Amino acid sequence: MAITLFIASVILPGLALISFWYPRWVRGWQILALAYGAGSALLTFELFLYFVIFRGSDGAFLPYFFAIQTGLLLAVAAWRFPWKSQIVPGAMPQRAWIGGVAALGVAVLLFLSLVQGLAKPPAAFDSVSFWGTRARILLAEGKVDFNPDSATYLSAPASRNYPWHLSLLEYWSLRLGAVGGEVHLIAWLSYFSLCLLLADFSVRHIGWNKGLCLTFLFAAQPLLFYHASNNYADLTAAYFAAAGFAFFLEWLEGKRLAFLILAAAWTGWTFSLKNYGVFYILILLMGLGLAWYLKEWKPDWKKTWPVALALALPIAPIGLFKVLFRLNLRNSEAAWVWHPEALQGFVGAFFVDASWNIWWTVLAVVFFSMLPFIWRHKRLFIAWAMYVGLIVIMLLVFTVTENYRWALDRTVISRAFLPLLALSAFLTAFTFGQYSSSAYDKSAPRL
Amino acid sequence: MELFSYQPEILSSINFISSFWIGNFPATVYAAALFLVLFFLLRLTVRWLSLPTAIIMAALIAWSPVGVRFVYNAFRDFRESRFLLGRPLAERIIWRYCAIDKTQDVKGLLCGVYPFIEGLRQRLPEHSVIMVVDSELKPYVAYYLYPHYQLTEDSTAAEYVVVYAPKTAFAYQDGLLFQQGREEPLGHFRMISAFSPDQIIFQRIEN
Repeated sequence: MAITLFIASVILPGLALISFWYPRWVRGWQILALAYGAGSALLTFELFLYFVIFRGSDGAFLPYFFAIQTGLLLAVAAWRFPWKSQIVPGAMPQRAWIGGVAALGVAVLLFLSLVQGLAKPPAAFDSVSFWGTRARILLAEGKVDFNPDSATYLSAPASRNYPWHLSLLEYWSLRLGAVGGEVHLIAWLSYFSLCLLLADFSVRHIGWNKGLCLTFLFAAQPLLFYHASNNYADLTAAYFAAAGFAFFLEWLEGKRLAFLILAAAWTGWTFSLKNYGVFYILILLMGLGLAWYLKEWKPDWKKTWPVALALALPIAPIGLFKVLFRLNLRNSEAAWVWHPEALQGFVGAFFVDASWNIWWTVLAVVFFSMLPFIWRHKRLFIAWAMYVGLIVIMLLVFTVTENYRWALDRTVISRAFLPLLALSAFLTAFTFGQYSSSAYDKSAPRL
Repeated sequence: MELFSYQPEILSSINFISSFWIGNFPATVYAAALFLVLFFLLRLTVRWLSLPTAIIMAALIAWSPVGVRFVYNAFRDFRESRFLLGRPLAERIIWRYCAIDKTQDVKGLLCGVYPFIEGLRQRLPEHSVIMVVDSELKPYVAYYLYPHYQLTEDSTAAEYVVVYAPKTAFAYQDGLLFQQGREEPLGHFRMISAFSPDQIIFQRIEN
C-alpha cells in the first residue's frame, strides 16, 4: 500500500507537469523517465517551503493536501495527455534482437535491484546516519527544530549543510507507511528513470541496437547497481544532473529555447540533492559561455530571462536557506592544501576497483579516438569541454582541499563520480550520434 | 574460480566494489587491456565497422570478465535475500545487519543493534528523553529510536542514558554515572537493564 501511494503521489504530479511540455519537447519514454524527477522535485519543493521557509508544523493536513493535489494533477494529466499516441511502435532495425537482448538485460538488472531494495532495510552509513535520521526526526517532531542549541537543530544531529530533497522524500514515504526497504524506492526510481532516459536518448541518437547496448553497459556498473537499492543522494543527483545535461545537448543540437530552460531547471535542482550540485550549475554556465564565445548562441534578454528564472527557481529555496542559516557547501574544514598523492585514489577508484567495470577506459578511448572530430565540431567541443571542466573541478576538490582524505581512503571519491558517470553515458551517445550523422550532414557547424 | 566467487556486501560497498585479482593484477586491468586489444583489432581488420560500433562491440566483450562476476553476485544476492520480502521488519533488519557483521567482523555489534532496540522499546515508555552515549554505532541506534523517543545530548535533561558499544569507558559507582574524559559525573542513575557489559540502560534517579 505504502509503495502504491508513494509512487502515485510522486509520479502522477510528475506526469501532469510533463503534460505541459508535451509533445513539443518531451515524448516517448522520456515522459516516464522524467515523471519521477518532476513529481519528486515538486513534492519536496512544497515540503521544503512549508517546513523550512514558512516554518510550518505537520498536523493531519499534509496528507490531505497531497491527496487532493495528486487527484487534481491526475485529472490534469488524464485530460491533457494523448495516451493513445504513446503506444505507436517505431520501425525496428535489422537484427533488432541485439538491442532486445540488451533491453532484457537492463530489465533483469532493474528487477534484481528492486528486489534487493525492497527486501533489505537501510544499512549503508549515510542513508542511516543522516538522510534517514533527518526524515525520522522530522516525523517525530512534526516540524523543523530551529533552536541552534538543540541536538536536533535543523532536524539533523550532524552534517546540517546537506540539502533536503532526499530526506524530505524519505519523510514523505514514511508518512505513507513505508518501513524498512520501502524507502529504497527513492533510489530505485532514480536508477530506473536514469536507465530509461538514457535508453530513450541513445536510441534516438545512435539507433536501437547501439543505444540499448550502451544502456546495458551503463546499467551494469556494479557501484551504480548497488546504489539503486541503498538510499544515498549521489544516484538521485546523477539522475537530475544527467537529465539537465541531456536537455543541454538537445539544445546544442536544435537551439530550441525550451530545451535550455529544461536543462537549467533540472541542473539547478541538483543543488537540492548534494552540495556538489553547484559544480553542475557552474558547468552549465560554462557551456553557455562557450556557446556564446563560439557563436553558437546569441543571448538576448527576451531569451535569457526564462533560462535565468528556470535556473534560479530551483536554487532559490535551498540557497536562501543556506544564506539565512549560515550553512556551508562543505563538511570538511576550509583549507587549501596540496596532496597530489590523492591522485592515486583516482587511479584506484577508476581503473583498479570493480565499481565501474571498464567504463572509464572505454570513455578514454571514446575521447581520444574521436578527439580530432570533437575538436572540429563546435557542439561536441562545447559538450566535451564542459565534461573535462567537471573532471578538472573534481580533481581540484580532491587534491587541493581537505577532501583529499576522502580520495585517499576511497570513501567518497567513487560515489562522488556517479553523476559524472551518468553524464558520460549521455555524452558518449551524443558523440556517437554526431559522428554517425556527420557523414551525411556536411553542414554541421565546425570550428 | 574467482569469476564465480561470491562477494557479500560490507559497509564499504556503498563507496567502492573491490575487484578480484588474477596473479599480480586486478581483473579490471586485464579487462581494460582486452578492450584495447579488441578495439584495435576490430579497427584494423573489420574496416567496414564504424568507430562507435567497434567501441561498443569491444566494450561488450571485454566487459565480461568483471561483468560475469557482477551478474553472478546480483543473482546470488537475489537468491539469498528474496525470502525477506514480506517478512517482519525485525527479521529483515537483523538478517541484513548480521550478514554484514559476519562478513566484516564487527564483533556482533552491528548484528546486535536491532535486538538491543527491541529490548529497549520493551522497557522504556515511548517519548522518553534519551541520551545515547558516543559510539561508532550510535547513528544506527539513534535511527531506530526515532520517532519513538526524544534524543538529547544533554545528560542533565535525559531521563535515560543508553550505552551501546561506547567509544569511551564508563564507570558506575554508588548511583553515580561517570564517563571517561568528563570531570563531572553524568548524574544519578540506576542501571535498569544490562544486555551485556557494553549494552546498558540507565534510568535517572530523582535527587
